[in-house]
Formats: sequence, structure tokens, C-alpha cells
Amino acid sequence: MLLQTALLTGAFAQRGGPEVPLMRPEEAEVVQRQTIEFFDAIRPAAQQAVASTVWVWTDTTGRGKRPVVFGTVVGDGTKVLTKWSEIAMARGPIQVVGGDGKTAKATVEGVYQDEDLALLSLEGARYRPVDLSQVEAPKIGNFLIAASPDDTPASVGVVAVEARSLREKDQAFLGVRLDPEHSGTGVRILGVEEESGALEAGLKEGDVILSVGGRAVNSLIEMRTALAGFGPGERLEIRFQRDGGEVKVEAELKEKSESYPQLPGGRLRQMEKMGTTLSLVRGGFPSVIQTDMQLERDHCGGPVVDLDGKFAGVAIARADRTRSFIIPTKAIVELLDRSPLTPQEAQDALAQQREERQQVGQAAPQGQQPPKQRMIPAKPKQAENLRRHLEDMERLMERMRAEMEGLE
Amino acid sequence: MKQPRFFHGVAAVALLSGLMGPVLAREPVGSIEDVRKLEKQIAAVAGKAMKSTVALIAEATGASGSGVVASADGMILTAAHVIEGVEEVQVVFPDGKQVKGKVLGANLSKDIGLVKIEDEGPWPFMERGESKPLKAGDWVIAMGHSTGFDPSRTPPVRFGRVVSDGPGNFMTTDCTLIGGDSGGPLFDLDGKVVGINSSIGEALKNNNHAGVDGFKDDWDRLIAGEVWGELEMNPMRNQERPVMGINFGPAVRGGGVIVAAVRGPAAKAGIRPGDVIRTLDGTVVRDGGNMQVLLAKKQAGDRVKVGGVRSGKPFEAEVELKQMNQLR
Repeated sequence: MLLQTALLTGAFAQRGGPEVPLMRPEEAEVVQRQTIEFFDAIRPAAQQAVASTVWVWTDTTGRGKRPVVFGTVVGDGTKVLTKWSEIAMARGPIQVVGGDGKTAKATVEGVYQDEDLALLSLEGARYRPVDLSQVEAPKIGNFLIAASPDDTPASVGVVAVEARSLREKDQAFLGVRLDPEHSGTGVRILGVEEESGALEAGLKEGDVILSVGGRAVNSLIEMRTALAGFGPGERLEIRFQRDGGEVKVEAELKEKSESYPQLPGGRLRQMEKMGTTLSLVRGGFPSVIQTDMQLERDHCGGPVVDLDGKFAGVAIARADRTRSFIIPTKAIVELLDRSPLTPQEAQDALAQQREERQQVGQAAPQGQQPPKQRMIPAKPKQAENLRRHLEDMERLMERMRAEMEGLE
Repeated sequence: MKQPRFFHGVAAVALLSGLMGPVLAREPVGSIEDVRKLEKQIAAVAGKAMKSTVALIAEATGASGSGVVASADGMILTAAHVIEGVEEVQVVFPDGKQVKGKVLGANLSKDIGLVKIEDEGPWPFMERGESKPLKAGDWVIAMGHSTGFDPSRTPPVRFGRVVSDGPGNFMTTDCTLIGGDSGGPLFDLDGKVVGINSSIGEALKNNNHAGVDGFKDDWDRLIAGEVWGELEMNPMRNQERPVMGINFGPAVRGGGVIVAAVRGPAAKAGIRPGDVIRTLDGTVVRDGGNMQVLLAKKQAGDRVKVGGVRSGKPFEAEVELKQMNQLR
């Protein structure tokens, strides 16, 4: 696999050295000066949001309190949204601190699990809430600025991909296995999955699908893309060929994930982490904007604004080397209208999810899908142990992978 | 693993070397208004480039990379390592449209390659620009099908700037790349293709792109379907690295290095064994390794000024650099 080898040979050769080998001192100076200039230029846009950004302090490790993540002030100024997975393991009290030093006691009022957001209720101080009136989502290439409680923005980047769902159950599933060898018009069905919309609609092996929802399909990828625009529960017209005649049916799409041809997991996971500390929970969100921001893990949870200073969403995760995710304003507004889980319910749900995952994990085929990334341990003490174990394991795996790749 | 120590050494030398040139930030961004202008340009380029940024899937090897359509008749620029070893690739447009692509030539030393869409156009394309004038601080936009084609999203846009030009035809930017981006385009703010995504290092600032000028230099051979060169991540071992044709002897106290043997362009420029070379384009040279690092940032065809001492008297010479593999 030359593609990955090339990328990673570079990485290995350069690991441990300076940031960019062969960078001239004058180049380093130009780049640094430009960074300072750029942050100075965007600082005014983030000014308003600074007052709506807080540090969330708690003890998650047993080694004392520290600011673990940012928070976004909402409601009447006594509520804060923050990243649930970063405080779920809190032992003891939670506090929020504003950039001006104002401090408030916080309790977890509720949890929005899919979004990985906790709603904190404050006591003792009030901050300026973000303005949720701008619900128009930013477009590709627009600048987004992640605010920080102090004057200098946490990060800046552009919209890399507009808002979309990362939830598996939001991906539509028709339920046909297709013949990769088929050439010519359409895509030929090799088999139909049980309990699928395709089966209900009467599709069967040997049928050649010509169009889906009015869109011609002539390859596997075209088929997947044609389905990608639709969600579970939607009905689509399928035009297909059977015994020389053309037939039209309507099929309902169901919930299920499909796996796409992706790079092999091991190498990709290694590349994902290069140069970064990733968020614990970094996938599965129902609606996120993808940006190229380089958000630190402990700088998630705060507000993100556009160049006009308008609130564009909450920074929710550093997903890998190239991606940080933002939950857009519209999704935040809708979320605040829903009633969250109680903290106890959220902890229970997590424990249950983990159990199910372990069972599924035993049955699932290896190496097809990247591992599920939602794993927040239930009890504080277990949590700490589990996390340490996981980190140790990960380091070990990383080393083994590196060594194996060295052998290839 | 390829010579990590060597690379270290080289890098440290690079950072310590030389006199400072004039510091000029390119296209300064002094106010929010400047940033707004920049935003407009990025959005315009990304919007237009989206249609031409394709995924290339080699069914034979399972490799998945990216490419950019650069002409109406469907010529696709990509990285050599994306198409190496295959004759045909599936070309997938962001809207899911899939067509067949014939693999033409590739120069592995520059990590550039060509694919031609077999079906007749016209295809949406982006024009080629020039990579040689790019310097640290120039704004750029990178695109590609990160981690492989994904029908649920458009190819992600990344914005950044050149952080270092060279080695050779390559350049480094802080547009973060990952597997699958290889072969994808790097644009300037006018939407011209200036580079092709090639490789990454550990640091977030270390994203390497092949300069688009390589296509111009090698066009006829690429079109003819020739595959040559060697994929080499260490620029000091790249066959096409620019050289003067000097074997260096020991360093001299206070800066400079003794010439041990001479051939090729250096001989043509009148440099002789026993000469001491003190400066390269005005920068004091510490030793042979240092000299190689300075040269790695140049390109074959560049003319460099060499300052030295011969029999106690200073001399100057101008040398036209040649590719290592073209030395005779």
C-alpha cells in the first residue's frame, strides 16, 4: 500500500525532529509574525463571545482541580453548556470561572447525550449569554473563531464541510448487495437483505437498478451517493430492469450503517493522532460543521463565532489531525428546547451502552469499521482505572503498529 | 525506518545556518476587513474547486487518493504514489458520478502523476498556476477526499499558508492533510492549482505538497506514459535534488569547506579541488552538510553565487544547478 507508506515513511523519518525540517529561520519568522498579525486582526470579532466563555474547573483525575474544558453561557446567564465527556468523571464539585475572574458553583442539570453536551446550572454569578438569534449556518470557506475566556481566541479555521449528521442511524439503508463485476448501465443486485426496504418493495437478485429517486446510477459509488442525500423513513422511487422489462417501485429506507471503502484502520488511526491530542468523544453527533481548526481537547465546549462576532455554534470535539467539529446554532437552539437526561440517567445509559458495545464487539467483523468512539466510564474510580488502562494499551498498540509497519 | 538520525542532524543544521534575509510577510492581514476579503476569496475558490476535486480509487491495489481535473478534456493531476502500479483508476466526482480514468505517466521523485478520463468532456476543471514563486506566508487552500471518498460529505476544505518552500520542487504548508488527501490539489487565492498533496510529518505544520511546476517540466514524458524516479521522503537522497557537482572535504575554522573533487556544473564554472567555499548566495557555509541543506532548498536550473578563497585570494563563481541523476 504505497499511499500510506509514503505518507507514513515521511512521518517516521521526521518524528522527534523540529516541526518542519529544512525550514529556514527567516521562514519561521515570517510564519510566526503572520500568525500574530492574523490573531490580532480577528480578535475584535471574538470580543463579545469572550464574556460568554467560561473555564469549567473540576477534578477528573484525583490529582486536584484544573480547568478541564470551556463552557458556553446560555439562557439567562446562569446556564452553561459544556462537553459532557470531559466532566462526566468529575469527583467532587464543579466550578466555572469567567475571563474576568468571576466564579460560580455549578451543578449538572442535564445531559444531551447524542451531542455530548452537559447543561450546567450556576449559583453565585451570572455571565453574558450568547445570542442564539442567528440560525443561518456558515458556508464552506467561511472563517469560524473559537472564543476563549481570555482575549486571545482558542483557534480559528474555515468551514471544511457544511453541517451534516455523523450518526449512523441517520444513514439511509436500502438493503441490496450489488455486483461489483457488473458492467454497462445500472447496478445489478446480487442479494437483498432481510427486513430491508428493498425486500418489502419486491426487489430481488438479478434485477438491474437504473435509477434511485430519479437519479441514474451506474456504479456502486453512484448508488451510495444517490442514497446519501436521504434519511431513514423516506420513500424513494426505484426504477429497475427485470426480464427485459422496466419496472418502477417505491421503497422505504431503513436505519443501518453501511461501510464504505476507506483506508485501513490502523494506519489511519495513527495519522489521525499525529500532532494532536484528540477529544474522548469525537463522533456520532447528530449535526456538526466540520472545520480545519486546530482545537485543543481542553478548549472544546466554548462558543464559536463568525467574522461578524455572531454565535455560530459550540465547539464540540477535536476529531483528528485535520478536523474539529462545531455543533451549529440551529442545533443548539433545538437542543435547548428538549428536556435533557438527568445526570443519573446519562450515567446509566452510558454503562448500558458500554455493555452492549462489548457484546456487539465480540460478534462484529474485525477491521471493517473504525471502533466506536463513545466510551465514557460510569463510576469515577472505575473511570480513572479504565482510562489509564486504555491509555497504556493504546501506547502499546501504537508501538506494535509502528514496529509492524517497520517490517513491511 | 529511513535514517531518522540523519534527518535530525540535517534539520538542526538548517535551523542554525545562515544569515537572515529581509523579513517580508506576504499579503499582510492587518484588520478584520482584510480577513473578510480573504474569506471571500477562500469561499469562491472552494466553491469552484469542489466540482473538480476527484477521488481516485485503484481497484487493483485498493489504494484511495485524490486528484484534480486540470483541463476540459479530463486530464487529472495527482500524486505518483496514488497511481503507482495500476493502469486504470475509478474517478469519483464529489456528487458521486463515477468514470474510468487511464493512468498515464508518473515521476516518483517529484511525486507527480497524470490520469486521463476516458469519457469525452467537457469536465469541470481548475487551471494550473505556478509553484516556483510561492514563499513562506503565501495563503493557500488544500482540498482532497480525506480518508477516502465519503458520499455524506463534500471534500473537506483546508486553509493555510506556505511555511517553507523546497526541498526541490516540494513545499510545506500548514493545511493539515491525512491519508486519502494524497494527490489532491493545493490552490492559491486565485484558484489556480499550485501544488499536489504528497505527504505529512508529525507536526501539524508539516504537510508536504509537490509543486505544480513539476508537471510543466515533465509534461511530455508524463503524457507519453513514462513512469520513472524513486519515491524518497528524505530530500537528501532524492535523485532529482539539485547539486553543483562538488565532493566536499573537511570544514575550515571560522566557516567554509574545502573542495575535494569537482565535476559537472562546478567544473564548468571554474571551481577547482583545493578551493575553499565560504558562502552560497551570501550565506556563510559551515560545512559540507550545511551546504547540502542550503542546496536542497533550490531547484535544478537555479543559478547560485559561490564565494570562496583560492591560494589566499577571494574569488566568485556562478554555478547552474543540475539534478543529481543528470551529473556526468
